[in-house]
Amino acid sequence: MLFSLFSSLLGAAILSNIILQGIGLETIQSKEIRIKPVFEKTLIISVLALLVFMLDYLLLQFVLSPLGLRYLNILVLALLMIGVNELYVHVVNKLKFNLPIEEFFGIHSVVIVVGFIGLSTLSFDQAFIQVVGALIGFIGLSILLTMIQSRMRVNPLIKSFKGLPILLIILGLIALALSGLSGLF
Amino acid sequence: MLRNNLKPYVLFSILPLIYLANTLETALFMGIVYVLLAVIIYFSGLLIDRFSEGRIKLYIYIILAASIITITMTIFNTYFTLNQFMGIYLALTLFVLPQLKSDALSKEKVLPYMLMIGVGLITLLIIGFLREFLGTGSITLMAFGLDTVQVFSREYAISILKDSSGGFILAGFIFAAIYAIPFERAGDKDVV
Repeated sequence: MLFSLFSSLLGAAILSNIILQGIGLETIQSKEIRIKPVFEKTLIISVLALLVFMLDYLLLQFVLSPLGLRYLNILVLALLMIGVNELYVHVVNKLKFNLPIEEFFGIHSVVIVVGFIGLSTLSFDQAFIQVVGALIGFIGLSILLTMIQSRMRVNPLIKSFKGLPILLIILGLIALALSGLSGLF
Repeated sequence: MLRNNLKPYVLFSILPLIYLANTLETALFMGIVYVLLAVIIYFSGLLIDRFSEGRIKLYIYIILAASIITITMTIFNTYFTLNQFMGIYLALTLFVLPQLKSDALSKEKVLPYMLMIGVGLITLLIIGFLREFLGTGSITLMAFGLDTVQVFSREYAISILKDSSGGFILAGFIFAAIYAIPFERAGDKDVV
C-alpha cells in the first residue's frame, strides 16, 4: 500500500511534471539564482494550487456536473485563482510570519493546470495523488533549473542562445532523460 | 527598441502551445485562435487600462481571457474534433498576455504588438511543421481536405521530435534564431 502510494507520487512527479510541459516557467524566468527563495516561492504556489484544485474538484463534481455546466470550468477556475490570491494577500498582511509578499502568487500558470487535473475521469484520491506528485515535481525541477542557471551565468554562450533558448534546450534534455524512466512506473 | 523588447514575452507566451503543437494542423488551429484572442485581449485591454489599475486590472484581464476561451472552445468543439487540453494551454497563454502588455508595452502602440503576435504565430507554425515533417516524414492537413503526403520513409524520421522533449529542443534552436534577428535598426548611440 505504502509502496504503491510512493510509486504513484514518484511517477506523477517525474512523468506528469508540469515544467516539462512548458508550464510554470515564470518562476525560473526571474533573475533569482539562490535556491532558498525559489524553494519558498514554489512551495507557496504549490500550496495555493492544491487549495484551488480541491475547491475546483468539489465545485465540478457537486455543482457544475449535475447542472451540465462543465464547460464553464475555466471561468470558475479563474475566479478561484483570484479568490485564493486575494486570500493570500490578506493573510500575509495580517500574520506576523515572515512569508514572501508578492501581489500575484495565486495568479500562476501552475495553479490553473492542477485545477484541470480534476477535469479528467480520475477519482478524488487518484487526482489528489497526481496533483501532489506534479507539484513535488514542479518544486524539484524549479530548484534544479535555478541551480543550472546559476552555473550558466559564468559559462561562455552564444548571445542569441542566452535566456529562454538555452533553457528550453536544457528542459528538452531533462525531459528526454526522465522519459527513459517511464517504464518503471 | 520596442519590438526587440517584446520578443521574449511573445515567445514565452507561446511556450505552453509548443507542448501540444506536434503536427502542422494542431499548430495552425492553435495559432489562429491565439492570434484572434490576442487581438481581442489587446483592444479590450485598452478599455480596461482606462478604467482600472493595479491588481483589479489583472483580475479583469483574467476573467476576460477565461470568458473568451470558454466561448471560443465551445464554438470550435461544435465544428472540429479538438484536443480537450487545447483550451487549457490556450488559457495559459492568454494569462501570460496581459502581463506581457503591462510589462513591455507601456505606450499604446498597435503595430509592434501585432507584428510580434504575427512572429509568435509563424514560430508556432514552423515548430508544428518541422515536428510533423521531420518526426514522421509526412504532412497531413485533414481538416483542410489534404490527405497524408509521405515525403520520405518513416524509418529515416527523427521520432524524438514527436515527443515533448524533441519539441523543446527544436523550439530552443528556433527561438535562438529569432533572438538573433534584429527587428529594429540599432540607434545611433549603439554604433561605436
